[in-house]
Amino acid sequence: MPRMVTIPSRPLSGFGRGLADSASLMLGYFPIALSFGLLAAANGLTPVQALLVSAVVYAGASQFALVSLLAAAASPWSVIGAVAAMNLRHLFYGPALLPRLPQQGRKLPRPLIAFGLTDEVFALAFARLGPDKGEVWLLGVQAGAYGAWLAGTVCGGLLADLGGTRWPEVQAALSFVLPALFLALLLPLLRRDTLAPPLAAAGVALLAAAVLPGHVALLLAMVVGGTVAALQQPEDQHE
Amino acid sequence: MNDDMLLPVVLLGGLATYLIRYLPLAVCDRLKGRGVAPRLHRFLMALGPSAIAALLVLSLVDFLPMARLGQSTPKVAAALLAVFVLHRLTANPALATLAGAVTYGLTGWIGSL
Repeated sequence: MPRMVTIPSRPLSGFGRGLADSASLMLGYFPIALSFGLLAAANGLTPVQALLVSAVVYAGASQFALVSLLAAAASPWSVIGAVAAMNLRHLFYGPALLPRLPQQGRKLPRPLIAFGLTDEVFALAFARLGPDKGEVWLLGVQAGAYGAWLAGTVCGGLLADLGGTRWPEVQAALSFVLPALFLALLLPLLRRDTLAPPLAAAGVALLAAAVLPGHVALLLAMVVGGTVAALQQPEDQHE
Repeated sequence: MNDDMLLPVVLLGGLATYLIRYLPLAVCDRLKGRGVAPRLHRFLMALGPSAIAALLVLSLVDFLPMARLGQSTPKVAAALLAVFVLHRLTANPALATLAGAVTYGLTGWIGSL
């Protein structure tokens, strides 16, 4: 008679595990947010105002644009339009993540999950969501990334008040965290039968970046990668 | 900077960003039980790897300026190799990421000596 096997739950399978797994994101976010805090201070924002921008908008590049455009006396609607346009690529993140969320386990309100869907959180979640990492794990990842973003912004504002002390070697190492993270997340996803979409997306991103803003190049690359996959013949239908 | 304008701009900019993230998620969640066409399913499943590949390329572009390609390439190559090796050895993205960042910082520091 077959024995029933009970798989014990891991001690850190939920929020805490997600928080721990967000360590690489924290490492990447902190220096970028620090730079944002410094830029905001240079454009006349107080540390509290900079924190407000990071807490409410929570979207890296568009925050830099928001502060710079406001400082350049751009009209409010053009600033809001620029922020929205730069974040249009996020349209796909929720729909792409949904099929990867495990059917079992605790479900969280979608408005809660949506708030923290940044580029890097999406990349990490897409690469690592699985049967043992569900929505609560995702919330832990988001909390870690958001916390690092807010902490970096505050520290940037305070650092600006202290005269902007710098450590070039550490800054150089931290500046490379995001490319290193993206490669570390991409490697386990690369299989011979699914290589064409990311390769096409990488090629398009490289070419488009020469003539288009980064956020547009990213959106275009994602659409091309997805289209290549949609047009591919599924494995089991090859002749 | 006009302080009176900051709060409404930040709130509306934040709302726009949030709705861009939330609405597609909510709509697709409602349609989930109805099944998705195979092509659309393949499109959605490829978005993740495509986004990560594109983010990798876009994040590397700033590290490889054409004017200083000769100086920058060895640092970047060493750091990417470190990520690859640590990934093969440990399959841990956090460790691989850290190895890449430390290698990049170290090669820059050694080069400046």
